[in-house]
Amino acid sequence: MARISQKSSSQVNRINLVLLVGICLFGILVAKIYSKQIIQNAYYLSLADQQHLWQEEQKARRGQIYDVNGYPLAANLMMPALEVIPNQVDDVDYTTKKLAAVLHMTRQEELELKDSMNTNTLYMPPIKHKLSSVEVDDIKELDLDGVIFIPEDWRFYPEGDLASSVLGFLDAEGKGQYGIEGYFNDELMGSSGFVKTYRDRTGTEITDSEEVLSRVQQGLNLYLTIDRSVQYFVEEKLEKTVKQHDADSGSVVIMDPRTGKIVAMANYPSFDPNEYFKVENYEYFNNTIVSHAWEPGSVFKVITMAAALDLGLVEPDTAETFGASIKVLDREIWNSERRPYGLEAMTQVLENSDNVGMVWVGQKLGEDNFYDYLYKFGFGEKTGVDLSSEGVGLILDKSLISEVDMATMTFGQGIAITPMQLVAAVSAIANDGHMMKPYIVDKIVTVDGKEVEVAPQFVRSVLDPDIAESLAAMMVSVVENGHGTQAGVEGYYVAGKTGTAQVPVNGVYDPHKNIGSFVGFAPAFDPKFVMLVKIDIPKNTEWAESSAAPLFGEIADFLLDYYMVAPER
Amino acid sequence: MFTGVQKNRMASRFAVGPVSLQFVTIILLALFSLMYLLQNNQMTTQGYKLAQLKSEQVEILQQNEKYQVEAARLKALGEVKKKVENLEMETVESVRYLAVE
Repeated sequence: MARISQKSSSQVNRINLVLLVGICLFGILVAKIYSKQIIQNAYYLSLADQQHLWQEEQKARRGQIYDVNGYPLAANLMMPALEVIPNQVDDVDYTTKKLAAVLHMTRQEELELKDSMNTNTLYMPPIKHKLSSVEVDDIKELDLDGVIFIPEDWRFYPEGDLASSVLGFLDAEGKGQYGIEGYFNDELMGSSGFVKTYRDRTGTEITDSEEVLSRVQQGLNLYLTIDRSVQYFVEEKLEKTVKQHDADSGSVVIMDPRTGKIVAMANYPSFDPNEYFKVENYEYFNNTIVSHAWEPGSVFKVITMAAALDLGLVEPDTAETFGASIKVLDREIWNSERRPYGLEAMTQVLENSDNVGMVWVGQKLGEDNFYDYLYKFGFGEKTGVDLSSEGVGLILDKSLISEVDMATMTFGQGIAITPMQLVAAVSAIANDGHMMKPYIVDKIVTVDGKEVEVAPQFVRSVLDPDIAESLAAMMVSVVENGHGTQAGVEGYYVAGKTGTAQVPVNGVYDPHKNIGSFVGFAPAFDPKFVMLVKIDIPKNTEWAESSAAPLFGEIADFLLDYYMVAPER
Repeated sequence: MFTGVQKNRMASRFAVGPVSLQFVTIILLALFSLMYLLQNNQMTTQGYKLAQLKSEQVEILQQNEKYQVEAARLKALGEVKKKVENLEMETVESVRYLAVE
């Protein structure tokens, strides 16, 4: 009995030992699991996240630009770029040959591609951007290893060079340059967002695991006040006129005087923003209507006359006899045709574009009043139009001018203004003496359709409405009886003024160079538009009545039909 | 007389003890684990399908955008003018306005 007990006891002890060892082993296992899953939980989660967690930037799409009727002027287009991952290419020779055939590469390009692919790296620069759909389909059919397509956003201007100086362009770095693209770059660009997703080894998203860290703000869409039909007509006629007169360049700007909306704004020569990189002369990028100042010449006489009329110093039928010239200090100031016009009413002073008459008006005004009205009409400051690089022109400080300077300024020499300033000023005459701020963006629309309309902005009252009407009638007389006959449109009262300005070169006026301009509005007593035409240095004509005025008339004729304005007479 | 014997046989066949309870628990655990795995797998599979559909959606939207841009290019006034010239249409020389009362 005792022997059996001893045997059982040692067996029990061995079993207990095995159990103990088993428990210890199990305890170690539990401790290890506890250590990994509880204590070092964050570390292993982080390791797993590094493998599967992707933080991605969601790039905002640039806002598009439309004309007033919703036709796209600047659009976005997603086009793929072709990339190769060299260390994933099995057969470099075969891949090179096939790609070269599809992309129509030269032998040299093919060899360079082969060299790049032989590097066994993870990355090489894209082989080609903006692949066509035919090229994409052909390459996909080849089913080549290591060949991938990367979607890229490109800016496309469907109307080509239409309104290019207004639009500007998007450069290779995705930044807007010049025009609307430059001025509204931040609004158009939007801002990127960031999302967190879980992806597998091949980069495919695992389930619907996207978590938004910061929301992407898509770029805003802009609707301009520009009417593309008017813009197209204006650009076509402007180009024809510039070439016809062998001029250096030309500009036309058209504005609604009641609201300040800019209907058309054209410069020639221009450029195609789709191929901005091909432009050699960077001057073409500038919108000279807002940025470049020029001595306006006789078109400025309407401003001087407006001031004198508004102050009651003269009336339209105030008459005086003027000679061919007038002496101011030691300087003789002549009429452009170097002949006297004799007895003239103020209306005839404008009709004949009499410099001597204007000097007389200026002397009645005096410096203080003249400068007062210069600033009232907005000269010497920006109009505030929503375009980049706006200039302020050049007006000599009142304390620095002489009587001669004052005299010449009355007929637009010795003062430099921008075309935008002049149109805004003449718009005040057309709009019963009330000046409106010019603007070019009509409304802003978000991606989800929310619209914000830009309201017209009243700047100030410059003239008494009756005075504005009187001056309009005087300007009609310029077109009917004066130098602006070619700007007239049969059946309508067109108000306007010509200007043939001398061009200063190195401080001296060049006798062989002039800038012809015409500014006006129609119908004169209920105007639908104000327009300035400017032809720079025409070679085969001396006077604006032959260069700028006819173009004004042609565009005015078109506009009156386009806006379906019935004839007045 | 016989009912009592049959009852006992039934009871003895289906007696539930600690061992059978453990067995049932293990089976249930295994079943739940399997269900979890199946469900997870289903989610992952659907997730891949969803990712693929999203990718297809992006491709279709890109294609749509391409067509819109091409439509805009074809409607550009320069293109329209070329077509008008091919159709040999004439410019309107004069416009007459009629007064309607």
